Amino acid sequence: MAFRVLIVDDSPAMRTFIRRVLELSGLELSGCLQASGGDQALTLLRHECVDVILTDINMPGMDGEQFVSRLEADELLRAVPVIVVSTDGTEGRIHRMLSLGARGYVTKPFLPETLREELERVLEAPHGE
Amino acid sequence: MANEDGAMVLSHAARDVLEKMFFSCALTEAGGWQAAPGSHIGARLEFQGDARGVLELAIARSAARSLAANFLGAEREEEIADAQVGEVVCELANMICGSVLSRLDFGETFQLSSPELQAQRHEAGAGALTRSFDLGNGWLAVCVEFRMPYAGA
Repeated sequence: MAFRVLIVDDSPAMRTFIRRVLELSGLELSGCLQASGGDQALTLLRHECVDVILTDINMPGMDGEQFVSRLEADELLRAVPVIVVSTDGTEGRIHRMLSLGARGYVTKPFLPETLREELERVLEAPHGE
Repeated sequence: MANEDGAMVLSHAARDVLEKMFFSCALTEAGGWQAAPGSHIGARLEFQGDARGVLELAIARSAARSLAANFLGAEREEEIADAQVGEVVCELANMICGSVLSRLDFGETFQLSSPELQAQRHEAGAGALTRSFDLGNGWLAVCVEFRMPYAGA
């Protein structure tokens, strides 16, 4: 099933890399939106629907923690699964992001198949898992 | 943490980033800073949390352009603008720093500053972790310096 993704990362290079990984993954990508931070992502989500959000944590302005918290607090947006894609692979951070509402976590650096597998897992999971 | 252990962590972290995200590998590796001034692109970022410090790196311009082409999926290196090469070098610094800190896992989450390009490397203290990697078309040098309160390097 085709899916629409929103990539949230302050690095244009990283957004390009992730988009390319998704396009080459074999998954059916029907749309790929991008935002450079949490504020821009929330503005975009007022008008656009996506099936999954990939977000970094360390971003200027609204960081990933604040962004995920804001999504979780929104009645409509909390239904959209979030996968964190971050250089922080510490147990503490992973636990924290999942407790804030993220459904998945991929630590940079990652193999392309790792991101694909996490996407498949999250997209196929029943709502709330 | 002994310097040897720290150097190994830095080595593994850098190699992991190069292989997974840049589809590149180091042919050989050396201690110390193997980067001649003027021929490299440098980047710097700071980290905070339970450990505070700085990561600096320098990469030969030719190697930086190759890595950027790999990272961005460009068919030809010439397609990549200089500004994009700089962005990719910053992302390289960001990921190596994050990978080092994640492997060390001091128990608290860490924060990374936005990496910045720099022309001149700052002199690091005696306890800094420094490794250099021959990428085939130039060297990548990385230095991680921990500052107070963590001084175990």
